[in-house]
Amino acid sequence: MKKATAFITLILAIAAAAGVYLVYREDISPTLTEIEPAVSLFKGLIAEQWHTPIVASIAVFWLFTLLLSISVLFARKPLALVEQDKPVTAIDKPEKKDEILKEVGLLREKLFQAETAVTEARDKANQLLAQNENIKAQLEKFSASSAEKNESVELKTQLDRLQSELKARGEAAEKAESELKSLQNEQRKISEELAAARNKLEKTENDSKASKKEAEKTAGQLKSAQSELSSKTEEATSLRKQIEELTAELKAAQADARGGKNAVPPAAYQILYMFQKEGRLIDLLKEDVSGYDDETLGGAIRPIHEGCRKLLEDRLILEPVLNEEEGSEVTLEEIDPESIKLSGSVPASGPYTGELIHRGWRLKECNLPELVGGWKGNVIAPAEIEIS
Amino acid sequence: MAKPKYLVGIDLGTTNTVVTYTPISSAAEGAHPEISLMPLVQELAKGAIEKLEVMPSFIFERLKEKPVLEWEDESKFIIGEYARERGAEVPDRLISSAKSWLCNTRIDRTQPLLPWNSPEENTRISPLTAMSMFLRHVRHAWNDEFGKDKLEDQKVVVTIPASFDAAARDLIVEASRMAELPSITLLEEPQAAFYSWISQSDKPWRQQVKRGDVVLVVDVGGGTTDFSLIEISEAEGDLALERVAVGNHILLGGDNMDLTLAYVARSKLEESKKKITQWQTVQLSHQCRKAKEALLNEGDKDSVPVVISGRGSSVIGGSMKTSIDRADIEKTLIDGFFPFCNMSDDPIEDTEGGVREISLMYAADAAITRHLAKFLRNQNSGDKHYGFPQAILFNGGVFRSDIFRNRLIEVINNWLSSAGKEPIKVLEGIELSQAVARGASYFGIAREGKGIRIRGGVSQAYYLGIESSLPAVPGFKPPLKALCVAKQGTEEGTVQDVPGRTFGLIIGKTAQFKFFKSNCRREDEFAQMIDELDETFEDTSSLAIELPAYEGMKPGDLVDVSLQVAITEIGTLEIYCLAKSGNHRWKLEFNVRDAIK
Repeated sequence: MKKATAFITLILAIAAAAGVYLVYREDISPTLTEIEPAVSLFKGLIAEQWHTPIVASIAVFWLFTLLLSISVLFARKPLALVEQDKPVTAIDKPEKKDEILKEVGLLREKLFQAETAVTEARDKANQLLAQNENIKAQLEKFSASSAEKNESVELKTQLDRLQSELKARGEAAEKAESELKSLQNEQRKISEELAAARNKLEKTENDSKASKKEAEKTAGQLKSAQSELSSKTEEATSLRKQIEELTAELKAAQADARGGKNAVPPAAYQILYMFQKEGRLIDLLKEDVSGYDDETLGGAIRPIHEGCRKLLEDRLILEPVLNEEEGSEVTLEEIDPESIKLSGSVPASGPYTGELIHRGWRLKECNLPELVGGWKGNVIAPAEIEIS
Repeated sequence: MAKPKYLVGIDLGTTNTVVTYTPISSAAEGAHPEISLMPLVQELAKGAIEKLEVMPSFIFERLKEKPVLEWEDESKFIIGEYARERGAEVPDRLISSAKSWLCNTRIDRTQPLLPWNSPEENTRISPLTAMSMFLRHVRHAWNDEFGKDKLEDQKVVVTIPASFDAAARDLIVEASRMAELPSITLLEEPQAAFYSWISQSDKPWRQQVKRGDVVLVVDVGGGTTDFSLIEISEAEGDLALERVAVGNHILLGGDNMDLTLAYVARSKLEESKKKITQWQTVQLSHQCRKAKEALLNEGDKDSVPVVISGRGSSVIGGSMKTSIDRADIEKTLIDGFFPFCNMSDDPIEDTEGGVREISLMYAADAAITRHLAKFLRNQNSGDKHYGFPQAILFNGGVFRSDIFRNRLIEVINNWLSSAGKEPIKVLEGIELSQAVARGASYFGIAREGKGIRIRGGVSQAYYLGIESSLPAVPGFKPPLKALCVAKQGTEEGTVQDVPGRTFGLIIGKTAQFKFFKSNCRREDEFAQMIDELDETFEDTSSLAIELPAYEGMKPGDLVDVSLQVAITEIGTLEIYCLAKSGNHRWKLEFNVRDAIK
């Protein structure tokens, strides 16, 4: 840079000398007649008596600049020589540093990968958590009206699907964790290597303060990378725990949905409760009626029949499976064993013709009130005490 | 505030609350709008909830029942279906007929008095609070259903009995304000039923009535009976409707009928030495209603058995059986509630037997026909003969039975024929138990200017009591004169200054005005002074005003004021005192606190 400046200054100094000469020459050569107006303009700018001092000062300045430029241009060689005096040992230092840095870079990349894996696992876990919430809500809804069989089947398949998904996610998390572990091992190796490198470095430390600083910096980077890695590991562990908890919860929910060995669907309570409340049906069935004459029994059954019937009209709405008159002959091409029961001498395949004995019933609609917090306890008719 | 999207009608009935709605966009001239019923979510036994079309107007103070509806939080009260159910079992905690209490001028309606005569440790609330609780429940149920289109942002119409006086109307507005429904419009129930008929009838209504017809609307609800007369007049070449008269508040309804029948059955049981409890009376009442319907609708039966089950788990062994006969129905219900009578007959004041409670002013005479006779007779003053209507519109569940309708038509036709008039025409086609709520939504459309509107105005004439200035005579009260401040039928949105009357009011003191109403003095003009108060005047809540000191006034100063009367757009009556000097204006408040002696 210095040399370039000196060179430019030298050229400028020569050019200035030429300019001055041109301006102050008495006659103008014929080759320069084109610039003659510019030259005379310059001449006219300054009064005649100042010409000599200006020319003198320009000459002095020019000489000075010329000398300075030359001195700068020739001062180059001795500087280069001084550098060559440095010890040779320092030469392989940058290479070692590069190697360590490279390793750290590699480590960082791996860390980044691990981090991505952890983030992914966390996202998946969150997703699972949300799904689980969803399932729980659906389960509650399902418990509230388990009569809705279709929904229950759908829910169960969904549950199974979700569980397998959860398993897969758990495996993924495990994989991520083992990956992390191997990464840790690798890191340990690298850190050992680094330690060795550091020892080596220590030797050269005395030679160069700059190299020591670099090493310290590398060590710091390594340390922070290590701590980062350990915190990621912790995160992974806690995620795994969370996934385990979720699995357990899901299992419990699933057990509830299937109706464990002792679990009673809330709708069972609700239906018994309503038949008792609206029609006193439980009381009737539990009462020993053998002692009553038929007239008493018949009369007393009237309100019970009415109440229970109303329940079948309003809430548990039934309709016949077949609408033909009972006793009439019916012919069916195909039958669904769930809705039609054949008896007598049944042929191996349709069409089936026979007498309709019973029209059958199907539950067309179930309008049970919504139970907000499920069914609490196992009471279907409370004991009553009247205070007077 | 969001832009209103729906027109909502709330039938705040004595025994049942029904809510309807229609999108504002559906309001189109001449079209039959789609008016839907709004399901009202309610609490049931065992922590269950259900959306029902009807919400029984009952409030029950919780014992141990935990609130289950989201917005109830720690609410001490159950509202609706479960309240009615539990109330039958624990009557001391049940508030029923809150609306009838709201127009009871003999109690302070803002004081916690309900349940009436309940034990000290129970929580009591005021009739006003009770009404606001129903409206609040409706608001929550609506907001639960409709999400962002909040009820407080919709155009809401609340129906009231036509017989509600100005003070009771004010209280309904106050109750809705308490329920955070700041802007509602009031509509009289018989008018609502009429609107429902306009919107529902298959045959265009203009073909069913003609100019000059007077339609009698008879509304017998669960707990109250309401009469209104609507005149078909003509305006700008089209038929116009005008509500020309409303009846008094009669606490008599379908529930009385079921109860009467239950008492008949009960006395039959007790004759055969069987003891029945209060709880069993409730079951008996249900059974009797069913027996009544069976007897009234199936003409071939002469007797229907009524069985009440034993209360204990021995349901057969503890059962009791009796029967309701056709004769019982005819004697107690048809002849009891719709007896033949002359148009000159008055309701019997002296009560003989029957079901009556002292606290609520239940009608002493159960004969709806005699109440109707008195109402119609009073409308035949001057040159108007509103007392001889040409058509009748029935409303209320009672009239689902043809027998009651036919009897009432028969009685009215007897009156008409003896006056030389044509038999009455029956207007058909309304859904009897939802008509009021549906009509309220339709009224919302009419208010949008998209349908015919009944001109109603002030339902009765109102008067301020003015003491005559006479020399003081010991033991002699100066006679009271009445100044008409609202002529019957004055339209909504009218503001009038009472000319030529100046009153001196003292700053810092409470001034009281006696206030009267009349539903049969249609000739009295605004600002007219009536010298003698006869039985056509009826006491109503007094008006009170306490003048606060304004700038430049001090307590004890006498201020000259004149009166200004405003009939608001939402259907309330407001009276102001205007200072003669300066621009001060004070509102006279209805004194609902002071019971009328």
